[in-house]
Amino acid sequence: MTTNEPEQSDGGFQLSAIDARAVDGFLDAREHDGQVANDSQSQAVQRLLSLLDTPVAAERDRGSRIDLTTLSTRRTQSNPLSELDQAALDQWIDSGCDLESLDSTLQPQGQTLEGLRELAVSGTLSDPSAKADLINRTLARIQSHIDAQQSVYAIPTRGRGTMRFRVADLISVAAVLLIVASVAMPIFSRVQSTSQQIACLGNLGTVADAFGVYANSNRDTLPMATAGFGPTWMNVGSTPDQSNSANLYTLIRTDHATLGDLACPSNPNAQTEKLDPGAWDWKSVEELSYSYRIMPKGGLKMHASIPVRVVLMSDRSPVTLRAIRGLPIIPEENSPNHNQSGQHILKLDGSTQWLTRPVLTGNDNLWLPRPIEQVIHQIRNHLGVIEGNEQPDGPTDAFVGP
Amino acid sequence: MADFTSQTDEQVFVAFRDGDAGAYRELIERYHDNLLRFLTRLVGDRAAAEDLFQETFLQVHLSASTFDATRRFRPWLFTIGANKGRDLLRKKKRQRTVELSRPLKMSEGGTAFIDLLEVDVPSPDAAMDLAERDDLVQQALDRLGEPLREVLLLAYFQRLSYAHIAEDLGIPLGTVKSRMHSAVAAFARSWQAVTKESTSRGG
Repeated sequence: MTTNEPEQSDGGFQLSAIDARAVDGFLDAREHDGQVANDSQSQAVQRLLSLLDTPVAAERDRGSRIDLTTLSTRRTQSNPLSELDQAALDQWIDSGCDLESLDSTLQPQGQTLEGLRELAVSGTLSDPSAKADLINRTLARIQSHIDAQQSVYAIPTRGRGTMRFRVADLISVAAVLLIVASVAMPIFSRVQSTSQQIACLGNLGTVADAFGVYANSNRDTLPMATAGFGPTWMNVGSTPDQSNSANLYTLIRTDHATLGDLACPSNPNAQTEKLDPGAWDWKSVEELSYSYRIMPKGGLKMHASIPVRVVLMSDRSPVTLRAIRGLPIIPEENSPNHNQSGQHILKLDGSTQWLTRPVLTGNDNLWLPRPIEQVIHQIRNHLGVIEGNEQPDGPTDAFVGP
Repeated sequence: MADFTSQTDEQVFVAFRDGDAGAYRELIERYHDNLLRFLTRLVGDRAAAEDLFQETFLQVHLSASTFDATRRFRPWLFTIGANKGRDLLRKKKRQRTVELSRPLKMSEGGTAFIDLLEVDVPSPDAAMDLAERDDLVQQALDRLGEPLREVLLLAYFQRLSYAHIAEDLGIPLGTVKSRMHSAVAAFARSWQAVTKESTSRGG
């Protein structure tokens, strides 16, 4: 130990002299980008301290953090805009951010604005929820900055001189807000629907596990609440023998899944809280987020003879939704769950898939049984097929020709 | 767009100060991982570290004219980061109790000696999952007192000699040395403790 007193806050631990020398040697080598000595003490120091090189989780958002840092630096430069900058900004915003339409004298300033805008759009992030989060935080920061500006601005000022300065200051911040908002908002709404889609897919994964556990403890049968259906299976919220969704609700009733697991985030009417512990079914078709395979009489067993590609569940069917509401169906319509951009399906083997059309291999329509598919096929073949030799079906049949 | 790959940090900095916006971005890119690691480890709070990251570079921007470009950029950047971190910790009045003072086998001087050769550190490619490693490193650092943590992190990330650190922190050279030794010993000790706890928790 040197002449200096040892520190108080040393935690009560010390190194042996040989270890201490190894630490000194290690730091010295590091400063000069040199090689760490080969003795076992130095190697131990290197092993221990290189723990500090362990990446932190937030490093993943590298691209957008670099963008935001660059952007926030520009934003915080509090110099009021020059007259040229202000003029360029006004013209640029008036023209809907069209650089071409700026006066030639304002082109250099326009270029800067354009650069700023590109800065805000560039940057990639693989995880959409992290991106949404960052955008939210940035917007919040800018908003708080503006709020702070406004509190200064709110002081009543009659003299135009002072006023002009503050407005310019405000504009420079507002301009960035505008740019960021105009660019970020469309990204944000897209990100939101993507993250809903991901959450929905996560639901299907959870439910797939629940099906497995259920079948395991129920002699391989899939959830079923009734021995068979009466006249219909469309009567959601009535009794189990009239509602196929009561079969799916069995998973919730038997605590294999929660109501939240079966609620797609993009269905505004979906319920996530189990209010009635004795319930057998969802209360109405609007609350349903997913459609379940229509169960045959006696139920369905998870058995080796059933092909694994059989679809167990999917995003809710628009076809039964229309049928229940008494509307004509559109066979190839996508599920309403994801802005009609497609639907998830969960297959018997627990795998999930995103379909952009509700049609599986072999032209099997997800929403319809094969006989109806065939009828629709025949009708479509008939459309436009008048050969010119057809006759009215008796005197009361109206039928006019060319 | 200029290509900075063959330029030193200091050359890139001068380009930035001369108005090259691409150079500023280049500096941020070069130091992204290291600075974020340093700040996260220092304040132990990810969201706060992200804010500090932005504030640090903002300060670099604002203080650009005061930087002596004949000196090295790296230590300057980390000094700014450390100052920001210290301000934040002070504001939060976040004084963690040093759990290291738990009763242990003390040697006769009332001080326990740590033998670094006995500290088990898995190699980076060992089975330990990266997220778990990240978490354990943070736990181990959180148990260090603030001065020890700071001197350990600064020395490691700034790559500075004792003399430089002493100058930066404004404390005597001998103190820096003994603090650094204590910091390494305490870090070794708390790493042992958190890995042991984690293994016993995991069964």
